[in-house]
Amino acid sequence: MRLSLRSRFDGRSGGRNLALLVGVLAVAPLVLAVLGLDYYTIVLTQALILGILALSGDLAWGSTGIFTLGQAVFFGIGAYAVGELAKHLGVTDVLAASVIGLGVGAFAGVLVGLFLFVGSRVGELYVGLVTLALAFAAERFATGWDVIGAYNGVPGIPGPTLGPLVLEYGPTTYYTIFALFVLVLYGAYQLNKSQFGLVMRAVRDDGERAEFLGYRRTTVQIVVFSITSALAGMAGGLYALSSGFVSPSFLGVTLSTQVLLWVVLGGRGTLVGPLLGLGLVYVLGGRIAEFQPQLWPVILGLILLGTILYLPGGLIGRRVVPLRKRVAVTTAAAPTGGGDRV
Amino acid sequence: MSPETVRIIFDTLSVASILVLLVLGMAVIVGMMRIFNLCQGEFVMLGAVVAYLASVWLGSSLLGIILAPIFVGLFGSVLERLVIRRFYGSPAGALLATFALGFVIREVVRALMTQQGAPVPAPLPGNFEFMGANLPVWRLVIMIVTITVVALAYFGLARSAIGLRVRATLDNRELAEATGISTSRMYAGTYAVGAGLAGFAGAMIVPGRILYPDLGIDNLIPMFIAVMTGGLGTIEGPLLGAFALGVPSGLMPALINPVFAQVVVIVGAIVFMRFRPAGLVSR
Amino acid sequence: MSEAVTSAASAAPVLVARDIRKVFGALVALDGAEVSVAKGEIVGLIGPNGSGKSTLLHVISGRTPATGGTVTLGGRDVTRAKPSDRIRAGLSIKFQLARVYLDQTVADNLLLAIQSQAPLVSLMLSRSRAAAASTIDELLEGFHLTHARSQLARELSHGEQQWLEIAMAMALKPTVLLLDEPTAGMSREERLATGERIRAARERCGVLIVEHDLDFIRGLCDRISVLHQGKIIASGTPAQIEADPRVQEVYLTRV
Ligand SMILES: Nc1ncnc2c1ncn2[C@@H]1O[C@H](COP(=O)(O)OP(=O)(O)OP(=O)(O)O)[C@@H](O)[C@H]1O
Ligand SMILES: [Mg+2]
Repeated sequence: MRLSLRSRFDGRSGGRNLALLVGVLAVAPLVLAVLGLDYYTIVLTQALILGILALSGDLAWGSTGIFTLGQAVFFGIGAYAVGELAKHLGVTDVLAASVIGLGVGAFAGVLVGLFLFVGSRVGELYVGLVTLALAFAAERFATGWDVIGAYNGVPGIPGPTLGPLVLEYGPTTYYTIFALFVLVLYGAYQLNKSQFGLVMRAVRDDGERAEFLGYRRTTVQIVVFSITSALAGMAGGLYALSSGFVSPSFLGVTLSTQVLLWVVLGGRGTLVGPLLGLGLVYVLGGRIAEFQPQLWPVILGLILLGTILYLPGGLIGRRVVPLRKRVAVTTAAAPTGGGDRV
Repeated sequence: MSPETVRIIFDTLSVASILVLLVLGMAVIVGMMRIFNLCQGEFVMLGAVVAYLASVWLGSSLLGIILAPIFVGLFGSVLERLVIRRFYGSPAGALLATFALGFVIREVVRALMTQQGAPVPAPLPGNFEFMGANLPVWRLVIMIVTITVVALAYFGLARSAIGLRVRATLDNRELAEATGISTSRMYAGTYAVGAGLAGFAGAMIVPGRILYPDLGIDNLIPMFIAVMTGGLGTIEGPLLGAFALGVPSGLMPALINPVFAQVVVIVGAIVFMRFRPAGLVSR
Repeated sequence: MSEAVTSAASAAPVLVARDIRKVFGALVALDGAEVSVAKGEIVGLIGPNGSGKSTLLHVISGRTPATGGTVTLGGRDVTRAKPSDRIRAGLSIKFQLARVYLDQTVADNLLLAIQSQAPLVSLMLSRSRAAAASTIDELLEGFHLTHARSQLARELSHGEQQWLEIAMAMALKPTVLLLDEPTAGMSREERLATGERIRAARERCGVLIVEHDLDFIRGLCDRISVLHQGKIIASGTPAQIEADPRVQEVYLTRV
């Protein structure tokens, strides 16, 4: 029952690709300014924030095999928390917003993680469906609860600050967010490379086997789930500040499945892949959608379908083996491993 | 009974029967075949599209209700051949692939639709009076049709000889092949039936309402939760799940804020699923 | 060999499984089976196909819950304990079908075993990676896998994968080592080498081996138990077992 869709980077390599990506992002605003496309600096800022969300999805699913389809729930919780605090108490500092987002995301993540993983074991797809249902319920709930603005969400959130500095839209905000993004990216990279990263992959590839090596699978899953929820919450907090509003859709199914889309497109467990997927869908796709609003989503769907059918490792996965064959290999390797239920 | 109470009971049964009708196709594909079919909602939406087109081109959405299961069933069998077939034995792969399929279908429909939403006329408009309450006729038709279709499906799939063969095939592919059943045709056929039933449901529920591209996906998660609550492996499980979920969903809006009602039902179902993963009915 | 038996018999057993029952639906896989292993002892478990040998190891390791009976590890009742807790209490198992991490390198597979009881925070900080390197080297050396250190486990031959899994099982530094058909699919030389490693391991722990190859087990085990239809029908030294007419009837004649 375990996912056999994965690429081979697996935290073992990919450091060079990440460095390259960071380099490109570091000079991007300058290039855009030269080209007279300053507006896209703001788009890229939002993309960096969503990049943190993409990384959280990749750590959970790509590296650890926790098939979460509800990353947006934690993103939205972070966004609402920071949005309300910014609006009513003037908490607009990006560092404070990051900490608040991390905190509420982790808190919610621990609760959901305990619920999902403690006690009798449920299968991977069950985790997917429950988290998806959670996103659905969360969005409905936010839509109906007028304390947090119901349909309207939280409009008119004051812009981000850093200490005494008011961050203007454009390069200033970009580079502040960029610094936070690089920090998270570096942390995620190190986590994947660490001994714990190896345990994450062990839990993903064969969780039962990991238990027979003495690992407490439940604990590992809850820890990873909490870390990734915290990161999603941080992204939400930053997004609330930088976009100036929060809406119930921040918690919902659409954004949650977007995360899935980035990760599938780019390549699971690679960090750089999901970021590229995000870039393709959000930055490039957003641009194409401006003059092809009807055709682009269809093309995107076809790209996604093609990737799943023909590039199960994602766009940057090296191994181009049809899914069918990979499955055969996996089941042959662990014929007794059918312990997971759906 | 006051007219108000009659109305509440009618609404509750109506909501529940709509959910049961929607879940029927999913009971076949997810419940029996165990394919986590995320494009099931789009099958429903396509059925609604057929009903809409029939009402525009042929002047009768009733005709659409007859055509929808045929068209959507055929469409499903094409998808099975082209895509789904590759993912038997890889449930997660099937889930992703059907997610992508649903995405494409939805966006194609969105691109082709010239307006945001298209109203579909009810074939039998108007209301009838029952114990002082004024109730829409079409909703009553839906209830009756649901009961009929459920009965047919139950005897056709769960109890008949064909049904037994289908279930034997799905339970043990090798054994079925050894006894000479063509498993690949059986799979394609079953998938098509599941798709056709969803198309039928879509065509049934859309008259009197608005057709829009997200009609399917908006119903997908309640449908899935109903199936999981009911339990996989049988036809009756998901239908029971749909009823168990539909009744409180229909009843609670009368008691509390409708938005919270749905949240309460879903969260309750999630908790139930956690502690009884096999569902209400397990084999 | 005889000293080993006496010394083992005098030591307190590290593993006792008593009166184990396991039913799968209508099938009784284990019907009051029992086995005990003392420190420094190598116990063989033989029996025809389907007699319940693997099921007994699964019950002992917590992979399958027992229908009845008790399992004690070092005097502690672990009948209801989770697998990871049994491993932490000193148990270690190699499954019948090698189950290594095919997409990880050989060295990482061993590291996974070596580091498995370290606190998660120290794993996040990779505190023990350097210290584990020498242990990995020793294990690779001992199992003739040095050349494959940074290959993916997927690229190993079948016998090498078995070795890797035995090495992982031993890397846990267990007090009780369960080996389900450790030499299946190995050449004669590979079997001999495997026997060497198992003998070396006995100094620290008790070993329970399931095997079909009687030649292999004869020279290795202090005691052999014979399982038939879920019951232990005989138990004794290899010589006694081979002479036992009941055993010949159910097992030896069939091989
Ligand atoms: N999970 C299970 N469900 C149902 N029956 C099982 C299960 N596991 C084992 N059995 C049955 O229990 C019996 C004992 O199986 P077991 O694997 O323990 O035998 P074994 O002695 O290890 O045989 P072999 O020498 O072939 O490895 C067999 O009849 C087997 O079919
Ligand atoms: Mg066996």
